[in-house]
Amino acid sequence: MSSRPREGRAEDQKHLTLAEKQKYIENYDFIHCDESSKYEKVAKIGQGTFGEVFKAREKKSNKKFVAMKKVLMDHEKEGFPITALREIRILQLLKHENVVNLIEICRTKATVANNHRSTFYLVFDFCEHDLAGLLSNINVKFSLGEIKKVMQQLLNGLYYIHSNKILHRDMKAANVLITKTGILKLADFGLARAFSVPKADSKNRYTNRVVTLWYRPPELLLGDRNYGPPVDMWGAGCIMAEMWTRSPIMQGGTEQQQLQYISQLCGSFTPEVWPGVEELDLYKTIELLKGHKRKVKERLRPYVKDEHGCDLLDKLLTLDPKKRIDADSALNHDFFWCDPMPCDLSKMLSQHLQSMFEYLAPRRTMKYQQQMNQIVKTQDNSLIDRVW
Amino acid sequence: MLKNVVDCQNMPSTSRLRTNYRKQSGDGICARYLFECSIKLSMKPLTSATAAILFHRFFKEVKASDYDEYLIAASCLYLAGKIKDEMIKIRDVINVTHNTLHRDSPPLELGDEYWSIRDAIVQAELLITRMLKYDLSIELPHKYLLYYLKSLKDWLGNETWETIPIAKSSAAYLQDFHHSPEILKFQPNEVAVCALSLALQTYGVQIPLTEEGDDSQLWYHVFCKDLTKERHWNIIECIMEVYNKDAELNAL
Repeated sequence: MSSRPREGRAEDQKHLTLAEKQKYIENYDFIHCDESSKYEKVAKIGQGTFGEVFKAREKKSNKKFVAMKKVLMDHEKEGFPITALREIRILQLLKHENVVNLIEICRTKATVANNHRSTFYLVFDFCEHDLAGLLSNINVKFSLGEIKKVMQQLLNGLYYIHSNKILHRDMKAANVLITKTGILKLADFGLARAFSVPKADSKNRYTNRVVTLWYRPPELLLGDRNYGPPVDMWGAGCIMAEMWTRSPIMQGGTEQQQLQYISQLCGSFTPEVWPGVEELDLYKTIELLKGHKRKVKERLRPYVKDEHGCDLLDKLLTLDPKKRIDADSALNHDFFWCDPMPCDLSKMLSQHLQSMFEYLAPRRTMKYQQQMNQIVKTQDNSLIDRVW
Repeated sequence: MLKNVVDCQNMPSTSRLRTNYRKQSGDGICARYLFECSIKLSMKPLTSATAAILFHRFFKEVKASDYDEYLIAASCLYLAGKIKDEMIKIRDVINVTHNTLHRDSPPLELGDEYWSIRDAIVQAELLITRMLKYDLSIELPHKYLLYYLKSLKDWLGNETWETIPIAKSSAAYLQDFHHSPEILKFQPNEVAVCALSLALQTYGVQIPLTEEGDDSQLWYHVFCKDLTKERHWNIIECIMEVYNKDAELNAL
């Protein structure tokens, strides 16, 4: 390694004029990071706090489609966002049929137009559908076997990421992608992180401000910071119920309200059903519903009908994270091993040629939301301030 | 034992002399700078080792004379903090790296110089990540060493363990080896075995029931079965070379 004194190098650089420097930067060929212009944007397919997602065509093959997720760098005085770094490292680690595949990371050319600041994109294999989009389309009908296939793949994906010590932390229907051949892919690892199994003497202190509110498990809502894979299993339960109800089952407007809906469906939070709940930060400070009985099965049975399905839902939507079923046991549940067996989705999907992303789909209708009203209908009128 | 390992952060190889990084040159000078700054930033050994690996890997890709190594070092420290979830404030990185380069200068005012250094660090970070193909999952040798030490502890017996600082010195050799770009040539488990082997030899500790001259039953084959005797010695020489280089820098 040569190392001349710093002053010497500074001298060298002065020989380049500003224009020459800019030209150098513009034309610098990053051999490990291609220009995003190798793809041609076709449509915008997503928009969220994380930034924008585009569908794009690879120019070279002209056939291969990809999804390009823009790395949000605006106002980024802190450099490469730590969340994007995490997402990249996690995606590089995870290679599985049921996890979205990161192809590469691309950049735009640094030019005068962008003040010599490149934009970066994560480039993924393109998936035609997302589950939220499919569920919001009344023409898309899932048979019981097809629902089983969706859930089996979802749990397979979760089993894989949890075995690799990764938490997804943003399970929701919109983050579950499905290809036109019916392969399910867990997507959006923007909130994901590695976890360690907590030891008795050193508890983890992760942020509990994760997971979209409607899919957020009770332990996070109560301020738990030492959580683990069960947070994703709760989300899997919410998604599973949604396969029949076609709309998120608990749409709280605030964290407090979300807790109420959970209590109304899963019963009140008590140390009897959930030993240790009394030690969570917000257990004492937040007003919790008392005296509610657990009625997961009876509320969901009208939709789900299948008894094994109801039982698995009951085990996924368990309040106590320690008792909540894990991905491995869920995959062994009778639901997946009784007739009708899980069956291929490609035939059903082939009837729906247009890509269905939640972003593109019409907003979920009032009708569904009224349906939802019935599921979480409260008996304690004093606490209702629901806004639909 | 864990305590011993952690303690090694307090025994960096940098000397008591204050290096004048703007005057001095020589092999390893910038790695020394990186570690000096990492200690001032109270970074954990795993984070500073990550920064050093990033630094060496970057300069494996490019010509050192094309870049300001001190800027790249600062940026590697900042990036390593993000990678190891031990986020350090960029302001701290700037203050520490600037002050280490310009000894006794007051902290930078929030002016043009501050903002251009800040921008340079951030831009260098984007450059480094691209140069390394976003392959930022760095496997460090530390976890292997910890595991090997744990396995050997009972075998060596309490008395040896408590009277001879094997854990502490092997951890120090391991960490110090990160000063050298040579570390990139070896697997993390090999590096861990050799740091441990060097510590055992330093104190003349023999692993029970092994013979010095018997190549068929080398103790480290349990941990690292493909490591040949030649490669083992080669790595140990590379580790020791770090201290030779360090002495050379001090002599300048």
